[in-house]
Amino acid sequence: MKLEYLLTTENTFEGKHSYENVKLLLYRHWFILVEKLIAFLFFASLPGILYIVVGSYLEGLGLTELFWFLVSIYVLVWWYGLFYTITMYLLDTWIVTDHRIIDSEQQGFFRRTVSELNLLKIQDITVRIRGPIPTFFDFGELIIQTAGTQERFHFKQIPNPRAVKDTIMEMHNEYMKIHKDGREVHKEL
Amino acid sequence: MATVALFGNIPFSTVFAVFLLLVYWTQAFFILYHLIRFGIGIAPKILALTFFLGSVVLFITTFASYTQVNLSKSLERFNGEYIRPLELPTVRIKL
Repeated sequence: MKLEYLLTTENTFEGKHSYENVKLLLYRHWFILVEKLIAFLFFASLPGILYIVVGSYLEGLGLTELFWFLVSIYVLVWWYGLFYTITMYLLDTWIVTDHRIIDSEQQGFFRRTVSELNLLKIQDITVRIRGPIPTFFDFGELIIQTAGTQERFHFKQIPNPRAVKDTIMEMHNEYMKIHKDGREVHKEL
Repeated sequence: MATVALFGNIPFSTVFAVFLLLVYWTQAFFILYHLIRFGIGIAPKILALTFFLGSVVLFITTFASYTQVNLSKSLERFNGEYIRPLELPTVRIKL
């Protein structure tokens, strides 16, 4: 079983070729995660606020232990929800290597789409930044049109999309120079 | 009959605690599995460890607070004092 990707600390992933170098590892912009984390921060403060409001009333009724037990369950669910959000954020990735582009999208635990595109097949790249917040924080969408009737590659809410476009074009040109007839010249180590 | 007697003796609070334990750790396993299996680089693995340690601490805290509370007694008290039987309006129909 190939488990090297679990032991190495670099940008490795399952199915990475030994001759392949990761040039870009892209997640959605941090702002997307932060706006969700703010909501979690608000939910974290709710039990405290509730205790301030009804604490003395609960003590009078002798239900304080029950309250803290319910709060501990709430915190457990909150902790789970927080990490579920972070997990989904971390598993939505776009990897640009010097050979291919891998689009990996996670929609829930058991729905995962992984698409791969050889750099040879890139036809054109479109960058789309819409709205004041994406303009201010410099994040947006990058769409790669591929040859033939293949589906378009869609990078969603990635940071600095113009620089990413330039890097992909650079990688594409380098790949075309090395692989003149489209055949792989490198060998697996 | 023996099965009925066995399950009839298990208190509600124990059933609730076991249910919570199973549901939480099944869901926690899915997060840990996804972060370790599909996460790229070291950061998702560190997050998986943080999540695991936090879950253990929080679960122990929940269990400790569970031992402090008599759930069945609290619910009985709550039912008796704060929840009144529902009074439905009567409707007369002339035939």
